[in-house]
Amino acid sequence: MNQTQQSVGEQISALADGCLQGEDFFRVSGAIASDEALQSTWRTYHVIGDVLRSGEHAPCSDSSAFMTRFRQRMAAEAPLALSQPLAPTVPAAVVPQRTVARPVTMVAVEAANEPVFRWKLVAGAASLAAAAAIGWNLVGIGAAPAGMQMAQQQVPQVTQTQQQPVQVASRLDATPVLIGNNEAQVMLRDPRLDVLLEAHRQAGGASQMPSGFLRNATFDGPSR
Amino acid sequence: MPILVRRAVLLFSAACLAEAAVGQTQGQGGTSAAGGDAGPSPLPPVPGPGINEFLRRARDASRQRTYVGTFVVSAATGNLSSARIWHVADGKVLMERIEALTGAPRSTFRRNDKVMTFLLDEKVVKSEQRENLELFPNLPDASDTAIADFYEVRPLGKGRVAGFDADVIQLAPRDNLRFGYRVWSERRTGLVIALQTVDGTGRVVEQSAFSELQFDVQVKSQALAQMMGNTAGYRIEKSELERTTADAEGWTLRDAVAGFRPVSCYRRALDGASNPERTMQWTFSDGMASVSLFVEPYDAQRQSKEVLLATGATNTLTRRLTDKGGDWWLTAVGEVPPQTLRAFAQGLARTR
Repeated sequence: MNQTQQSVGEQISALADGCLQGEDFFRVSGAIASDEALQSTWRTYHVIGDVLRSGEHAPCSDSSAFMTRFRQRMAAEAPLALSQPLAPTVPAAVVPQRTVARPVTMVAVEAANEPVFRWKLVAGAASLAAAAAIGWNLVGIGAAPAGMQMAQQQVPQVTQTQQQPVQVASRLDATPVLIGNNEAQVMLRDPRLDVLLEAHRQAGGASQMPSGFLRNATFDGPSR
Repeated sequence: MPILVRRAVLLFSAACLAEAAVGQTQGQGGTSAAGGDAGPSPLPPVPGPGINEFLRRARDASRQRTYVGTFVVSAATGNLSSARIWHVADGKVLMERIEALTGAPRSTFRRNDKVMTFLLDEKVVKSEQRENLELFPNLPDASDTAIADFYEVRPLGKGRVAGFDADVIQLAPRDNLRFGYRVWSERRTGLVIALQTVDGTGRVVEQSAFSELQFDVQVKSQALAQMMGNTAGYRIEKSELERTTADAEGWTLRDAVAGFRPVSCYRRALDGASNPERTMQWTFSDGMASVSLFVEPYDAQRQSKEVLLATGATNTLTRRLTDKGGDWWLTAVGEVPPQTLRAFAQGLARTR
């Protein structure tokens, strides 16, 4: 993504207004899904929009707590939210569950943009947009930002939600672990490493801080 | 809605928030002044004197104060460790008893630089003579300015830990080779009563604090000495150390890692008498954080994958070093970001 911060902000704004279509829509929502700073921008724009329109907004002071609760709600409500836009436009695409991936997703995109994002139902639009963002996040879009690919992956997701909501809930629960994962989180149980860590504590002593000795004597690490 | 409108609203609300924050800060200052706070004023925002004063007070508090408390260490990964502390100091002799409340039962006793760790389950006492227990002993000359070269000290305001008022300061790293720290310094004594280690993204990777603390309680150092000497029924293991130099071991750091100076170099018998092969431990410090490089001959049976792992603020990196005379296995351990360990691993070179 070689856009400036400026234009990304503009596109997020456009997305929030429901003015973003096609490839741009996929790219920007993919970017939001994988970037915390953009998620924050996305939320800020919504709050601003809410305030300007109604003079009041949903209280969500703690964004992470809000997102956690939101994910839990999503686990229960995802099937409804995602199937709604599908139904009125092309009912045929929903009824047979095993349609080809491509046509269904194209329809889903249009539906998500067209009727709902016009700010007729502000809250509905926000939750649907976030639903889309989280859905793509879940499917692991960060690795493959190609629009078509994520759309295709989304379809089995929808099908699965309709059939087995319980499984989806457990997948959603697992999401924060995936998001927060990085190479430094790996934990090993190796007695020899414990010996080396201990030796390091001895040599490092209190050089870190006056409380370093206390810290080293108190800390029992994950592998003891 | 046009982006311009959004920006305008964002600016406006930011301005409102800033004003509110200023108002709050002023309010806080006002209450503490009204409370007749006679303690020392917060540290000046000048790097040199600020860090000197802070370190001197922290050192003096540890050397001269007697206290009892509960100390808690928590890592970003969720590990929570705690210990009960008895600390007796009169300016000459420092005695400490640390009773671990989590993990394997163990008691650590310390009399100045002599440390004995009682592992209650194994009935083993580990006895060591440490050399670096004094605060920043390794950088005797101009140590404080060296720290100020790599950390910027900023006062963050006031806080309260374990019921004690504290001045909060931040040690912000000037490069990405070290973590930052937030330090809660007890107002009256200067004792460090809480510490957060913060990574480059502002995430707290580890924090430690007293959850409960009492100063000037009656603790008899004689009683502690007696407990420390009571090793009946325990097997005593002395750590096998041999002083050496990296040069004598045939190693050098081709590219020095900014701010880190060599502190000590030992050969250790880490596997006891069964394996006489010794491991070199070369330790570096920037005055706040330390890094140990453990180097031993590569053994395909024992050494497995190259990994990077984190336990709280401590990162560990293992790497196989290829050499024409036979490969080596490096384990780099330190309270530093992973990139610092990588820099050490890349700079380490064989001289023969």
